[in-house]
Amino acid sequence: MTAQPDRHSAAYGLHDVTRRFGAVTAVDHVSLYLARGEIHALLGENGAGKSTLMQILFGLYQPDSGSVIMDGAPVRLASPQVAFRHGIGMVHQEFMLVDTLTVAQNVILGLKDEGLFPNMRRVRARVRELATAHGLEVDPDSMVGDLSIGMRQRVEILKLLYRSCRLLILDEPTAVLTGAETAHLLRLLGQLRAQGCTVLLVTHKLAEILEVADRITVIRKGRIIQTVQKGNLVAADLARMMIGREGGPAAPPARQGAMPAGEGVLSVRGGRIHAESPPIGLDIHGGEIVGIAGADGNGQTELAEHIAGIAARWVVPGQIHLAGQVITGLGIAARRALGLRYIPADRGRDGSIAAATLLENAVLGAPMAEDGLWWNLPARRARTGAIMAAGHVVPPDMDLQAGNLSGGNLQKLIVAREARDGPRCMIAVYPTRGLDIGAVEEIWALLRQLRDAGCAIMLISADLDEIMALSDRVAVLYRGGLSSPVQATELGMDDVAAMMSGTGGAA
Amino acid sequence: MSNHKPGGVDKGTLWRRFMPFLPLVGAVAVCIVILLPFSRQPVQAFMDICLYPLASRAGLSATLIRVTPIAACALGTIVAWKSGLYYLGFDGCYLAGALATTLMALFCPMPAWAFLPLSLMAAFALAGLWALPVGWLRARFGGSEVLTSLMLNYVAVLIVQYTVTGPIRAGQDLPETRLFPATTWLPRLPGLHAHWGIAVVAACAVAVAVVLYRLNAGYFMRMTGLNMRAARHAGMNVGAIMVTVCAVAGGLAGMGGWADTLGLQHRLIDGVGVGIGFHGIVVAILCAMEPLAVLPVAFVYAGLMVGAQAMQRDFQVPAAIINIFESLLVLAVMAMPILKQRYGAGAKDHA
Amino acid sequence: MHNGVILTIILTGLRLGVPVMLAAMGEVFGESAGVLNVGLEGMLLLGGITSFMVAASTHSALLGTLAVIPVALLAAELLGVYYIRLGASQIVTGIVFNLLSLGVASYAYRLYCPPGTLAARIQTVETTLWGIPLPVFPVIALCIIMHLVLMHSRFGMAVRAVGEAPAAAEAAGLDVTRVRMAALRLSCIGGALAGAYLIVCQIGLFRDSIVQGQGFSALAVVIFGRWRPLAVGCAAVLLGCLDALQFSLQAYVPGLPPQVFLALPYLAAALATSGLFGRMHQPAALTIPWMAGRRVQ
Repeated sequence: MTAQPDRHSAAYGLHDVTRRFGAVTAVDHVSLYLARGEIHALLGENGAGKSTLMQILFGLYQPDSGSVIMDGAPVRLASPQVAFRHGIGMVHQEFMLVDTLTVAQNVILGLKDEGLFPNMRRVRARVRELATAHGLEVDPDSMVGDLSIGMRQRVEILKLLYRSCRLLILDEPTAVLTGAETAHLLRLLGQLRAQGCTVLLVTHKLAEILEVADRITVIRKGRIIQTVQKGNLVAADLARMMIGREGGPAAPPARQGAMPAGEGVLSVRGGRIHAESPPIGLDIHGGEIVGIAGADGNGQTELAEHIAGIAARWVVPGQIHLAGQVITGLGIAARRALGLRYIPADRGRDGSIAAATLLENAVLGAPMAEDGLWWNLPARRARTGAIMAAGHVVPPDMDLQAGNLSGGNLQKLIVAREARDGPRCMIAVYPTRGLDIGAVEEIWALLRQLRDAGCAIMLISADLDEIMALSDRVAVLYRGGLSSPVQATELGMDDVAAMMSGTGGAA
Repeated sequence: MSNHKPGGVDKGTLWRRFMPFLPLVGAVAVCIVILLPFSRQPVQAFMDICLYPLASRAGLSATLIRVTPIAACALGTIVAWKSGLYYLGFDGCYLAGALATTLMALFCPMPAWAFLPLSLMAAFALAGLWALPVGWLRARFGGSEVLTSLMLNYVAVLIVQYTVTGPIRAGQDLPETRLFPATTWLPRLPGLHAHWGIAVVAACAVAVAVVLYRLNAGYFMRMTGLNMRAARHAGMNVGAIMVTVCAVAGGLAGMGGWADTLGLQHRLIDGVGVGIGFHGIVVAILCAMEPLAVLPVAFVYAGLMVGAQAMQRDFQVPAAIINIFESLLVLAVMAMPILKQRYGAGAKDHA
Repeated sequence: MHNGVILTIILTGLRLGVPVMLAAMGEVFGESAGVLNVGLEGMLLLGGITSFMVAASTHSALLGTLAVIPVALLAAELLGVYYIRLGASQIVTGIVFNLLSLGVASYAYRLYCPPGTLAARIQTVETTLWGIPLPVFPVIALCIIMHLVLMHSRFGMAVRAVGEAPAAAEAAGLDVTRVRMAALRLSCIGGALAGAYLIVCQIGLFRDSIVQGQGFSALAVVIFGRWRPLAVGCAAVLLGCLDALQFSLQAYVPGLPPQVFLALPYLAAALATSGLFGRMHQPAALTIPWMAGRRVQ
């Protein structure tokens, strides 16, 4: 049992820390104490304050009140460089690596004591040494831009080991890893703990927490709810503490009966995403949602963008049919005219225009051919009003700039806009990424409405809860290969998880 | 935090309100100071420069003549930049327009009522064709239209230089063509030396405003300019938009060349129109890319230039001063919204 | 064409290419850090007038050259406010700066040489070694040094990190603003030295029109050389050789008008930046302003 350190005995910690951003209090009188040789999990929903907490510990932000503690004494971390000097390092969820520099160069970036012209031979040797000692094999001379996601994470961790960090903060480290890589990482964390390092692990994955953590702190809305020993806790206990209620977002009404006999709408045959991946074969019928599960980086973007016509990314293009018509080789506008719609993964960059008004955003992609030359303002306003009502977008001011909307409302606008005009087929990629529970449920409702109206929906998501909640059939995308879709009712979450990590057999 | 004086005006807020205008005041102050070595009454000299266009018919005419090509280039800038295409080759488009006009004037005799509209169309067309490849290269290969268009400016200058020193040269002494026949001259505005070219540009300004804000095409252009990726996702043919916009923007600048050639010089001269494109760009920036503001702003801008040139002619005060003033003015205008946001009244304290 | 002519072209090309090379060396650092200095053209002009005035007054080419450095640093401060601290559009700022430089240079020349007095002429540096003007050698050495610094030194890595992934650089503890300012200073110094070279080693007197796109050509050459100083230097020499062709080819192809040769460097630069020769993998954060401490979602 790990002893509960307090303010004076903690190796690292935060004491009564508060941090505001404008009117929002991100972290509210938080006290968190970590011991040496401990793996401490930080659990909380998006927006609960985890990121800010970590960034304060890492020196990216300073607390408005309270202080960071090291060995029982308050210490001021003015910048990440200072934090590094104190032995505190962080691996961010979005890797902080420079693609055009080598691994070795990335590892020593920002280090002052390497001299004006760093001795790269020595650096490379040290990197190799650390890599072998911890099972993080990577070539110090390779360009980071060429590395896979799993390898990049190794570089991030090597950065911390090179600086002899004793506190390692990891932000959602396994979100982008396969099963095997995850197991490897958890083993490494255990190794580091045995060496006396402290690990602060921030993650959603309840199973991993239960496997490796010593103590768990739950944070909600900027406040610590409680800190517990792992002891005999199970996943359900953790979920309850995190959300404050049982289970995830409200479970969907059970789908009664067999598959509706909808027409085949989207058909994909014979293409290959990568040279070494198996050919893709997929059929989606009207009135069903086919969920495509898979960890980020297995070909999701390529799959979606190729079918939507954004970019022909596949090594072998294959044949794509929409309602009987061949659409391979057609441009985006032509596919849209045939009833294909697309909800992109990056709503701010690809799905909307921040500097334009809500009206201008709602009109994006609307059929304008019959209008002729002139901008028909009354018709546009009417259409926008209908879209915003259907999506429950708040505030209902169509002259507002889209950049002022919250993420949830922006996504609702996008989904409602794409769902307008009764599309034949909808491709939705990570539709609820980064959104709070309320927005997630509203968007799920919109998608279900769309399905019930007869649309064929391809849902690509890394969130298993979402896949299981929405899909009628489920397939798994792994290394560019797609498993045959299976009825959702016949699959358990463990089956899907196994397929996602490549260890389960594809149906 | 600000120092609150009970009952009095808060010093902190007053300073904050005033702060964004500081660069503007600074620009005027600098201009007056640098006039000192050349004039014993710098403030008076500055006022004379500013009021020159309104002080006499000659001043007004000279200003209107100057406004025309600058406003034409400014409109071209607005059309291109609002669509996300940072085209900088308006010098070259001006020259293309001038060249087309010259060739028509020298080799296509026809009555004035036919010549003026046809030469305008020819100028627009050739200038548009000159600009089009840059748009096409950008759409097709994704290169930098900024540098490509800049480089082509110099090529255009050399092309014109070649033609006026070679095939269409008049006589052997000056690098220019012969004088155009009178039927090609742009008629003058009543009572002034200035020509009707300004009316053409004014009509274009209205047309650009209508296209940008009242036509579907304008919507496509503006959205492409704001976020090209999202526009593509929405099905807009971004490549076609870029090519068309580039050609139209070039054509608009070309009309400036048409107007100067038929209204001011009545021949093609080597070295004409140097830097006109950049004046147009500066005006467009000062207009915050609003087409209906182009004529008034260009009028003030050109007025300052013309006034400074008169100063140079009459009192040996270097006209370059106005370049300095206008650049500082633009820099001040560029800083204002950012300063207002960071330091102005109502700005949040730094978190 | 026999070897003598080719050698002449290359030697002339070296000589003519120096201003572009100087400006490009500084700009490589600037752009690698994420700052596009369209105002480089104006920097050449400012360097030209400064070196002219100082060299004419002191009769020392060296002093004239050194005097441009403080001017460049001053200009870098002004440009830095707009490029980096205010996050204004770099292209627009550069264009306006060029206009400003034109005004300042003309004004200064008017002050120094009022109309009516004889335009001052300074003695250009004439010493040569093996037919190559002396100043060319340090410039070539500079090219090699800049390559080593950018590719292998700590500062160079910081510059490249800041221009490619400023968020990562900041997380590594680098001060993005300070690194960018340092790189911008290098760019301005390079441009100013190029202008000084034009006056002190090539032309010997000052006109408003001594700079005819060399600054813009430097920008093109940086892209052509893919932001690697050695390649950029070679591209600058190549451009100079194209310029040199106008003297040699005229003898061999008498029918062609001189403008064709004069246009060659510009056409080459235009094609180089058009994207025809492969997509440019420019520094990812080029022209994108960086607000320190951006909140990570």
